[in-house]
Amino acid sequence: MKTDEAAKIYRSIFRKNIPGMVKQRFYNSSLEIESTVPECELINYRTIIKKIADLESVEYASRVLNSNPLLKKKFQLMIYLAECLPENYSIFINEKKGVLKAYFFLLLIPFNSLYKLTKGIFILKIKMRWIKK
Amino acid sequence: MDKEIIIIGSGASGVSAALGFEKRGIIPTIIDVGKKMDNTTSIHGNLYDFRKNNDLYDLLIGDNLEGVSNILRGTSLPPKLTAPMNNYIVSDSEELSPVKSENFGAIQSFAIGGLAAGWGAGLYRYNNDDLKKLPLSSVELESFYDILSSEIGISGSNDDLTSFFGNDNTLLPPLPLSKKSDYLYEKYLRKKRMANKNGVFLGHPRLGVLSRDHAERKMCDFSNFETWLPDIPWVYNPAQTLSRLIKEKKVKYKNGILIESWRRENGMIILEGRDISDGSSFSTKAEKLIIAAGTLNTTKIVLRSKKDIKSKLNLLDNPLLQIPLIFPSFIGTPIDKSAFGMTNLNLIYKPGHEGNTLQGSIIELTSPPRSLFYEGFPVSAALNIKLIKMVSPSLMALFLFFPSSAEEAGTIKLNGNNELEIAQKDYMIDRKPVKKIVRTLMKMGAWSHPLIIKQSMPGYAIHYAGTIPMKRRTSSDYESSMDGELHNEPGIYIADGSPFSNISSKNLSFTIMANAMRIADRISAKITK
Repeated sequence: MKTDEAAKIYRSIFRKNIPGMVKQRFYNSSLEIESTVPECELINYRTIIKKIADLESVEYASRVLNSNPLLKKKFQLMIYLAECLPENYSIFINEKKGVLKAYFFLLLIPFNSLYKLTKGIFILKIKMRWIKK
Repeated sequence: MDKEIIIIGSGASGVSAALGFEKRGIIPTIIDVGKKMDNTTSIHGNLYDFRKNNDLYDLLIGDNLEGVSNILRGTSLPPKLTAPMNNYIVSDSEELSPVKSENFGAIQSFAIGGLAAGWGAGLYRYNNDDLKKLPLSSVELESFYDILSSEIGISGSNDDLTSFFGNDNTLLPPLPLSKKSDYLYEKYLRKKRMANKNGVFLGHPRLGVLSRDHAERKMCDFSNFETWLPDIPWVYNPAQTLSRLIKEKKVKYKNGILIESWRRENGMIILEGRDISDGSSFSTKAEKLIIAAGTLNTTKIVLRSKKDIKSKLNLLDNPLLQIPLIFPSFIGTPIDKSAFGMTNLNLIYKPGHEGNTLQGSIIELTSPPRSLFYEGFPVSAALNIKLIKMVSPSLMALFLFFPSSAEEAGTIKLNGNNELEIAQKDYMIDRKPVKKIVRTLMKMGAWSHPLIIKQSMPGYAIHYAGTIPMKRRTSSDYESSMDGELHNEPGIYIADGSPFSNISSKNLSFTIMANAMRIADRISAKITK
């Protein structure tokens, strides 16, 4: 379960395999987050990790709907841990001029966001209810 | 220890009080907890060059996960205070002085240099307009501002903001602007008539940040490490002055002691507290006591000494709006690697009609970790990361401060467990001026929108004040005189933010420092007489 968790979160954010160092640090820090959340929240989180393939959509919908705080925290944590590695420098830092590319990308955002949000809400409101049954 | 003049606290006000005594050759003793950074570091060069070849874990996260404490522990600390190397500034404060509050994010420091060890170093002179609701005039503070200014080395310029900040001939040249700040300032200069007509004025900030070498301290190297590293020499920290005073034997310093209260015995002031290394009790005598422990802790010491768990005192802090500014012409451009990663420009909003003058700091965001911007964009995680890369080079933030007076104050009290309890209603901020400011900035190439403006939790500005108001004639136990002396407590003086019962939108720090010096000067004048 644990291996899936870190790897799945990392992949859904960065579309890459998780580096070993990030995975190890993620589990060390995760213990502290998990110790502070109620049992029902933890069970819900584990169900999402285990049963849902598109974590990115669910996390996005959770942010919009203000639900699943543990999932959101784990995503945030993963991003901080990923930023630590020098090999991820170019994921976070722009060193080349790419104005047209950036604006083209900005144009696509509303379509992608709408799709991801709709999918995330569907999973949280309908699929999760069905899974829990 | 013999009877003597004791200052509690080594922060901006405590060290300024010590400077006030220096003038007449009186040697006070500073007592405080004085936490120091655990690790020293020898990182040099530019943040972005460093990042390419080094694992940032120790700088960004830390062994105790300080860097992600806002995520893990629900704290609401600014990024500079969560950075592992800077976290000593606030560490253990919850254990040393617990604060209970539902709606006030109290931030305290027991570090050497106090909260000023991690401040933004904005140092502004209060003019008579700022002081109009206080029994002080700017003339009484002027000479102390001057002494402090040469001690600190303040960069800035006499520009459009001079009428708000005062004409200062001791200023070091302003720091060079970052690319976006330069772009905004150029636009402002071109569209000044329109901006001023809307009540918006821009100019260089007055910062305790060196634009050239000053008194053995190096000038800013634009490395972008401001958020990450402690005790950066070009950013003023009162610990630097304290170190000089100790070296020149102009102050005695005893750290590791938490002073909790005082009592009187045969006319002497007996200070009581504990040694934080082993918890053993500590006491010492003082002839004069200057309490400069920071508004929250000073208030606690006063309430605890009076064994008062009933009184509720006023507590002020500047309401604060965080306004993201996006510069569309910088989207997709490389990050500005050689910027000064703190306040680059100040904005003053002065309405033509009745209304409050507001002050804002336009802050460059090249220094904090990029992860900080996650969730700043209302899109999915993978897109967020791409936006961080492409859009964060175009981001700045306007921190807009609002004045605070007794009418909007929260309350602070001591409970039976010796904990402070703070209650604060949400601030009711008038958004009309904000719309006007945003519209004006948009005409100058900086985009924002009311939907992305965030109102900070009360307490986040960390400009705490007003618990023990300064009065020309004191009449209650929780008022201090013009000399700083606590009502009915001869020889006990309050010398931090506590006496300021009204705070303008202008950062109070420099005025607290000048007032602490003024109080020390008055005490020394009486002693030497």
